[in-house]
Amino acid sequence: MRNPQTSPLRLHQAFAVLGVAFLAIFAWVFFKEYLAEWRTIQAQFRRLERRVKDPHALSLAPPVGGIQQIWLTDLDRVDRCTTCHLGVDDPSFASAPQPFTAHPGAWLRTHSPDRFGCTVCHGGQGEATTHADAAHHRVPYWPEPIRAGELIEANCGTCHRQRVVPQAFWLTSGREQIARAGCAACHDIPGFSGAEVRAPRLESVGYKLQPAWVNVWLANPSDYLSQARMPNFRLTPDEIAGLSAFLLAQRAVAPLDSSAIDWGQANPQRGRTLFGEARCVTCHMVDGRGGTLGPDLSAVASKVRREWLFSFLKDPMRDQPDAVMLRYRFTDEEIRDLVAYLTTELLGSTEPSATPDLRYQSPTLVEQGREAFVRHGCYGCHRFAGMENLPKIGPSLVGVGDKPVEPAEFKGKTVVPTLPNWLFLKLREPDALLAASRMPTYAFTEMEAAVVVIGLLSIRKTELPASRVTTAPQPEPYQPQGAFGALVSRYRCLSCHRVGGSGGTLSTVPLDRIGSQLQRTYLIDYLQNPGAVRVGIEERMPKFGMTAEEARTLADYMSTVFVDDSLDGPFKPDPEATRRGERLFEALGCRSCHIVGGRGGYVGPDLGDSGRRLKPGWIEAWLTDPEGWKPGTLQPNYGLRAEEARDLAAYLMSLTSGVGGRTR
Amino acid sequence: MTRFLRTLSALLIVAVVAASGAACRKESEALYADPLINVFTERARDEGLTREQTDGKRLFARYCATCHGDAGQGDGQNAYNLDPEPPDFSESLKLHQPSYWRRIIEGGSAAVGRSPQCPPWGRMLASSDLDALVGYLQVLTNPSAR
Repeated sequence: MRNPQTSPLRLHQAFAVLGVAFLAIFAWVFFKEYLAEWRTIQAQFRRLERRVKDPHALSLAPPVGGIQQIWLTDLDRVDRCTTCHLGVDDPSFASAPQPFTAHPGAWLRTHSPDRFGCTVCHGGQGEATTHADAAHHRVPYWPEPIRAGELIEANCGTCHRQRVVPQAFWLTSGREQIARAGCAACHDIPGFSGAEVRAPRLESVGYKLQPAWVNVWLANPSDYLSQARMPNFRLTPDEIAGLSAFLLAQRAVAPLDSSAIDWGQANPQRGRTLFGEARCVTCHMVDGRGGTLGPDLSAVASKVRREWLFSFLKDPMRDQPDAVMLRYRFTDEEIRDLVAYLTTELLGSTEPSATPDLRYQSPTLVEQGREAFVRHGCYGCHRFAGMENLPKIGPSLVGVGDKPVEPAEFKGKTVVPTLPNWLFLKLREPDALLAASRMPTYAFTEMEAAVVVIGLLSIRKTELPASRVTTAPQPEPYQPQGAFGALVSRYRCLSCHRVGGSGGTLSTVPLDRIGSQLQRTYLIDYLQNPGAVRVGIEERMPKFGMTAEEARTLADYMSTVFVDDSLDGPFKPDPEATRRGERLFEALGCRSCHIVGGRGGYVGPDLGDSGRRLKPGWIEAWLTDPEGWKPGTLQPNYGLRAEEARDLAAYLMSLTSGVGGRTR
Repeated sequence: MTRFLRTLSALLIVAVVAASGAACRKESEALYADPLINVFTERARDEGLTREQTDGKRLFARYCATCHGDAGQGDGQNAYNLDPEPPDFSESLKLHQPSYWRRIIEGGSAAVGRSPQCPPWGRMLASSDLDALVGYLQVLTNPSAR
């Protein structure tokens, strides 16, 4: 290099060049700022505003100018989207072109932009002031591009953490699907507990199953039942042999003795009738019809041994202490006939195999089976003595919505490498992304897998302040004691009914105030001989074979404890009120849905004998505010005045004929 | 001369690489699929409904179809218990404006002076739900509104 001091001319030249460069840069910065995208857009907006609004509204409109920003201090977010999306909260821009369109729907009424900004719900880069930088589409180095409209409910779920979010249908279905598939058995998932997942205990399963069936089931559960709840673990033949031996060797609790039963006397036809009368189909599916609370019985003859089934029907809790199944009061002869029906008529497509399989006597095979049982995390769903403290085998899904995805993981797939697609592929074909994956293959439909992805994407890493989060309270498990508690346990009331928010969901009526809704005498009758209050409903309460004494114990307890004092007022029959109520009943069109006197619709309960069934205070309260008592009910709210509701209650209490009261 | 040739060939190589890179990129972008989004777009295309109309369809199935039938033809399972029976929407709705339908959904059929058989849903459904239902009814009357 030359020494510049020796050459002043060169120094001047250098200064000149630098000066010009500086001027050029200054001009470039100035023009860049002057011609910024958002300035052009704001100018367009002002022109549009003059067209859309009349001069008066225009004079009231706040002046637009400069960068707009919403700063959410508690979330550490800055959203400048409204710099361009200027009409977002102004209904006069409902049909304006983007970026000026008003926000559709009524969402901003509940989620005001001042409190929620934009990117909380939509994703994207809030601080950006150009279309490209704002991550309207996928951009490099910004992990959170704007969420596609199809998946946007995932973002609802980040704050709305309760299982059911009424305005977010896909999110809610996704969360239900996650619970139903039992994902929490193998993964830690916020909001889902592994304890929710229930599959039969297997400590005594060697007495239960037919060996041939075990092999079919382990190879692919959906070969036995197309709707099997257990997924396909893609087991090798060696693993199947080991597991089968291990399972058949499990004989902790022997079944009840059935050696005195004369199977020659069994009458499958009577068993079939009993199966119908006891309303087994409320929980069990047979040939495509019935409930899903219990296992599908269409091919049960190929699955279980006769002696085990006899013992199970006599006392389901013997080897399954947490059984959902209730303990019926069947006689031994009735059970014999039921077993005969189940094991001779419900064959399905596979013939039951009679070959005895003694492989379980090989200790090495049994040990291999135990290893496979642990390796595949079977204990996650099937609680097993001695394996209570083993860890979940799947990775934790805490923060899965922010999981970084490497494009390399999509090797050979022509798929846009995003996290939603990664999760979707993983759910559809667990071994397609990672060959050695231990995750079993679920028979998810595309839509089921898609909603599960929405549910998973809602689980984000960031901690939110409590004021931003909505959750549903966790109900305390309800365990009544004493004679009442013993009956609730025996008849498994809580498999279908809820008390204090805990229990099953098959029944839509919680029992918490049932004593104020239904009369004691009616309860006693109904428990012994449950009929159909709603004609159109398939799931009916089973016929337990309960004794009168037991029914009285249950009814007495419910009538004194499960009550709401605000509903129990004095009631005096008043012929005048009854007549007014009858006129109102016809004028409001109640008969469209309710049967009275053998005539009416099938949507709501038959009211023909409501005077013997219902309590007047409840009728009045219910009619005044149906949604308040039962969210999502179909009973319309007619906006009745208190005296109108009282008149209707008087009329309904006068109906004791029961004509048309069906007890199918 | 050799220097010029070297520069030229280097430039050529750069140009070819850039061009092929651009071509590959274009081709692969077209090939790449978004299977998850497709589940929803295909469904939407099959049904041909907007998001609001889909909400309306769901509400219709829950609150209306028992009497009015799944497709609004007046053939729901409870229809034969009613007198008069519910009308066939593909005909009857054309006689009135959407605002009239909305009044019925909101205040019941009695609100427009008809039989009281259709109950008022206005106290249970949000205004946006009523809009969604009216939107779906428009699909039922006029399939081209899709």
